[in-house]
Amino acid sequence: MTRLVLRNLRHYWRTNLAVVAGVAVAVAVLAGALLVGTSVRASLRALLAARLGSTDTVVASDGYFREDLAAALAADGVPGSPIIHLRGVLAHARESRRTREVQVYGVDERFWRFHGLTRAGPEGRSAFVGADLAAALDVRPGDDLLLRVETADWVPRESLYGRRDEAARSIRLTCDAILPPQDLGGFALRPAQGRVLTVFVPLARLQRDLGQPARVNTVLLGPAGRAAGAGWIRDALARSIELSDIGVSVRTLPSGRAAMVESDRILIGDPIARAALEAAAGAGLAASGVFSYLANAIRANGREIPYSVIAAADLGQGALAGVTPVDTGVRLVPPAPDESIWLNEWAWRDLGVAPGDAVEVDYYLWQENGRLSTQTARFRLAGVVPIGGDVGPALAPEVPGVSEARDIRAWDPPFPMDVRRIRDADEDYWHRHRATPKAFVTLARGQALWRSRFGQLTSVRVAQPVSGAAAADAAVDAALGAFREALRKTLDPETSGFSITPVRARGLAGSEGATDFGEYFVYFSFFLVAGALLLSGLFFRLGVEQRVREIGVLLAVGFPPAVVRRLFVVEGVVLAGAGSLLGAAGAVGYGGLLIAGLRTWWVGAVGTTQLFLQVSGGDLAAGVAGGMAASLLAVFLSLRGLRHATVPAMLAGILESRSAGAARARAFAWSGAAASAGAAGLLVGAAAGAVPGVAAFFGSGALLLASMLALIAAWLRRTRTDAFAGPGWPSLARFAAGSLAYRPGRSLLCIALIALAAFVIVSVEAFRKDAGQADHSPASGTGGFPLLAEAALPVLADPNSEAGRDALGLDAAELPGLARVRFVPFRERPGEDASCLNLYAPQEPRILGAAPAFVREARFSFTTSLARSAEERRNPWLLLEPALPGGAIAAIADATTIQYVLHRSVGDELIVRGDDGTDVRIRLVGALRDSVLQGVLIVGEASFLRAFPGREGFGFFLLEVPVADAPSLVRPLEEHLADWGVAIEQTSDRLAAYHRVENTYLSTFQSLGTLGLALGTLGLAAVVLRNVLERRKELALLRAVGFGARTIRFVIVAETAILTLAGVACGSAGALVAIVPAVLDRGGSPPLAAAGAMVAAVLAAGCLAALVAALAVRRMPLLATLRSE
Amino acid sequence: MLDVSGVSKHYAGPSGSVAVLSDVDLRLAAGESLSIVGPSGSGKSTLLHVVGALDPPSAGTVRLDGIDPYALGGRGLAAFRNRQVGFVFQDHHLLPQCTVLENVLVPTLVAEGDGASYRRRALELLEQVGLGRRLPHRPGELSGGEKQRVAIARALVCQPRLVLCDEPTGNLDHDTSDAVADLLLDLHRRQQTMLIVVTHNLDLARRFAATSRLADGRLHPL
Repeated sequence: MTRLVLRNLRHYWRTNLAVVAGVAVAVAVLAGALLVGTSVRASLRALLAARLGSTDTVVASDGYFREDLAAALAADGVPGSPIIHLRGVLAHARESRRTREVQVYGVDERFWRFHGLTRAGPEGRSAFVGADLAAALDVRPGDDLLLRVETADWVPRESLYGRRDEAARSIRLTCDAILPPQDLGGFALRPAQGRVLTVFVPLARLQRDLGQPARVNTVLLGPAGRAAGAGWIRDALARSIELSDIGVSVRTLPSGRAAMVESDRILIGDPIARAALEAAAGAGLAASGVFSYLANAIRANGREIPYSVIAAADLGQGALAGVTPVDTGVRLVPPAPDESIWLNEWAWRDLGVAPGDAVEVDYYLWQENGRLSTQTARFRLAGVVPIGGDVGPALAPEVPGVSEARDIRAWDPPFPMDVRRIRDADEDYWHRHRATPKAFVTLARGQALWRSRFGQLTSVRVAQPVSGAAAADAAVDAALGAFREALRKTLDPETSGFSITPVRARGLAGSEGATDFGEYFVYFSFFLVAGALLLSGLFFRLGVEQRVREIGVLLAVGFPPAVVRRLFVVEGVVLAGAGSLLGAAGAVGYGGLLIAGLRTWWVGAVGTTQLFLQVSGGDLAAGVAGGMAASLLAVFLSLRGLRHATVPAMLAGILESRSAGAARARAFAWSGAAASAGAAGLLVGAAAGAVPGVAAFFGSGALLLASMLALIAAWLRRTRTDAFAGPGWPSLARFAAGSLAYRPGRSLLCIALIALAAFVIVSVEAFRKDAGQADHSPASGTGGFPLLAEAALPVLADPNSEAGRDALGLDAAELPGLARVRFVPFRERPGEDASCLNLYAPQEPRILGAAPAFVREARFSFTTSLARSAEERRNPWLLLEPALPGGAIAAIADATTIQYVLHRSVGDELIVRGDDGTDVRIRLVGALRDSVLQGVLIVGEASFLRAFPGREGFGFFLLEVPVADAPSLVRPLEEHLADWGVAIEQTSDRLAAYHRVENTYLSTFQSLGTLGLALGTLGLAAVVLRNVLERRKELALLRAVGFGARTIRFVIVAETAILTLAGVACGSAGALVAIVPAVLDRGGSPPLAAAGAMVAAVLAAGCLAALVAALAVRRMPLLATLRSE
Repeated sequence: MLDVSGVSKHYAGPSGSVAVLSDVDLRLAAGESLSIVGPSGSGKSTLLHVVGALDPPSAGTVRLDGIDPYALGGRGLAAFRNRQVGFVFQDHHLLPQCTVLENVLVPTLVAEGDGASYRRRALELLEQVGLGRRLPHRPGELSGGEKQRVAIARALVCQPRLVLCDEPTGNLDHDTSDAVADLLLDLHRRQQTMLIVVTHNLDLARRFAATSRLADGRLHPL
């Protein structure tokens, strides 16, 4: 039997070679596609490793902490390096070039040592510039640079005490060296495959210029040993942290019996306030929250006191239990707590007010649009408190520019102040009592009036409780000491501004990719694989058909059918095995070709040229297994076709009896009808809204294709009652069509091969997006905003107001078009790009906060949303405003971001890290249609500030300008806003960049689809040639009965053309139905040009093959062919 | 009138040129029939192919009604075969993908005239050869005799002047051979064609008006 198999394999080597080639191509394509996925992942991992250096984990803070903390964290043999890491803007000092989004690293020799490099420096005012940044700015060693970075103020700028005029500062540097990637020139803590702009400056220089001596904001940690658990760094941080590391101080008051817990931020965040109250209770101390504020005026009886400290505190309770009102001699029913105000003796006398009298307080309130507004609160005098004791300047926070001033007139406050209102009496008070509050309200009322997202207290006062015997000084000291330690231990660093990010682990998770290229290329290569397998199956089938008489003979001489089947299966396995082995080798070549394609022709899809081929045995094995399985299925199906043939029929060369053929024709007809009905059902379902449009149309298109193929299969097997007769092309064409019906399976395979490829090419073309002119209507992908702006440093001023424009240096005289520009600002929590431009799967996507005014504008269009009410359906942005049950935050994102990058659906949730270190649940409530907002999550401003209270200012803007003015405004606006590192881009360009990526994917798909079509055409050519060879006696007979060479050529070409046209028609018709939603959506026309070009190409290729076959026929000797067996 | 004059045919063999036909002369008028006998390899089929415009002679001429087909060139030669010659091969060479009726109609695809009248003629011929009820059948569903009858109908469908039969009963049993011979002669009489039948069956050969023997590359009347 083995010898028979071997003889068969040798005898039919031509057909077998074709089978092997088909399997080899299928395996090569399948395994090659898988190799691409593995290679992209490996490349991303390698890139991540190169960019992270030795960094494994990053401990960072939103403030500055002792660099010694690095040494404490780096104990136990874990290497560590303290650095300052900032975002900045770098400008070439002489040239006008500047670039934003520069990663600024303040480093010293510890950084290089940490990464195992022997480099030192930079020193003094020198800087090392990363190669990408040097290329972007054309920087060379010796060039002068101007770096602009955010200042290191603790005090929130979006609060009353924040200094908005000093948000950033410039540092002059000289480029000392350009660092190539291998020398950490591409050092980055956030994974991205694109260019990375880095500049290394001396740590000491940055510390000095930022006013943070011996302090840093980041510690890089190397990999912890195996013994170290996941919480090791967290424990080490909690153990090593000091209160100053989170900007908290405990100030013992001169009395020595009380202390004030204060923050360098002036406002104490809720977690610190809670910790202080908890620690005080643990230490047996009384505690009181104090919220001191500035009263622009305290007014009563027509008199007013300007610029006074007013404190919200519950007097007579807790640590302020010792404050007892002065007896004014007036007895009355006290006003309600919320209405009550207590004045100190000085203010009481100055205003000449009596208990129960009305007192008004004017104060500034921070508006989220970046402005201070003056508000007035009304009270009634509830009492008078003495100055001294607990009522002293310690109740007011230390405000830089104010607390240390000699006179009130010498204040340098961060808020507007009219010094003309200051009286000598006020100065006298300042000299004697400094910032001692002149008025008190209840804590609850004060917090209601002056509430800030940064905190609701300015200090927590702790003191020996008043009740009970007075403790000895030593005991109080001990209690305060215990309180300090308890506070340090109670404070959770991660809720107090610290973050611990396992950057390597997260980067590795991200390097699994937002896009599984392996999966995509398997999809992309599907038709190539299917084509190769169909071809392989086709050739195997040809082999079986060729040997049908032989099978008949074997059965006739007594071979059991199972043995005959086994004979062929063994042959099939040998052929598939040989093909798979060849394919595995070919996979490496094909994978390499695709990777080369991604680095060159399709670089638009990946945005990096740093991809390399990684050969994986698993992928090759999977490809071989898949290819083998599919080939054997083809073998099985080919042999299965023989079950309809009787032995005599096989001996007569007949594969299918008339009755079996008729039965199969009926089965195909019914299948076709069922598929048609299914297609119609899906369309009806879509019309009724029961089935999503795209799915319904794509499904019905595919079903229509299947239906047409089934009906063709039935038609090929039909019993023909009419006959051609007489001369003429129609008769000849019918004769040719009749020939196709002789081997219906073979013909159908050819048609299916071409139809599938045509379906892909036509349907994919419909999804191609215009990369040119963008629509600027409000419902378009640009939202009607022709420009967008992104700032490297937060913009705190309102660029729409006159004052804001002044602050930003936007001068209407220098910028004539400025009057027609409207800025729509968005708050920004920096994060990873979640657009199709980033290959890494974003772990912490960038988040924007949309202001209520923008929400109400109802810009852009949505593919889907969770809108319920008619108003929400009209404007799904409104979904961002209401709070969601369970504390989740509603977010809107571009449909591409949701589906292809985040791999989520509308309604799904994802978790991000809030400013206080806790998890923030983001719920996707709407998907934007093809928008310029791809890559970000957009939440409502209120939700944004709740989750990310520390994020100040605005980082992203949409600009409404007349479309015609947009291009001319880009450069002037960028120049005027250069200090904030603002980059302006035309939204049409941004959209085109996204479309280019998507179109590149589509091109990839189409390229491989076209390759599939080429394979199909090749198969068609092979079948045509094969048919001609098989039918050479028939063709000789035609010549014998008078057919001329042209007529025979016509017959052969007509057969090929019929197969090709049928394939193209079926594939295109199915695809045209499938793309209806896409065409309607884009308002364009169906891709007729592409379809036409494809038809022409396939037809030309098919006809060429037919002509070659016809020429082969012409060369055959007529008589010898007639005589041949 | 068929006029074969001085026809010779040589083939290149491994040991030099092999003469198959040597100076063959043959004349046949309309309504006349001739059977040619001879041992296997005597050149009977070669003579038929030369006469039927399938294989040009090495020397000599073949004229049918004064026309030398080999002087016509490619398209003319094909048209000559289609309109003037009807061939019945020993292996019938039916197209497996075509029905009985279609097989008969195949030559009409490149003929001149009206398709409907060809169809009528094909149906008449198939009636005459006794296959009027087997029109939709495929060759694979026919017996050897039936196939040969289809081949005869096909040879006659374009009403050729000359009908050439190469061992038309070679693969048939005695009774079927007789039936096929009856059919050929009957149709010959009706159509008034020139009929040449090559056979090594002497009984069959004797049923034709004239019989020649091909030996040593020459025709010898019997």
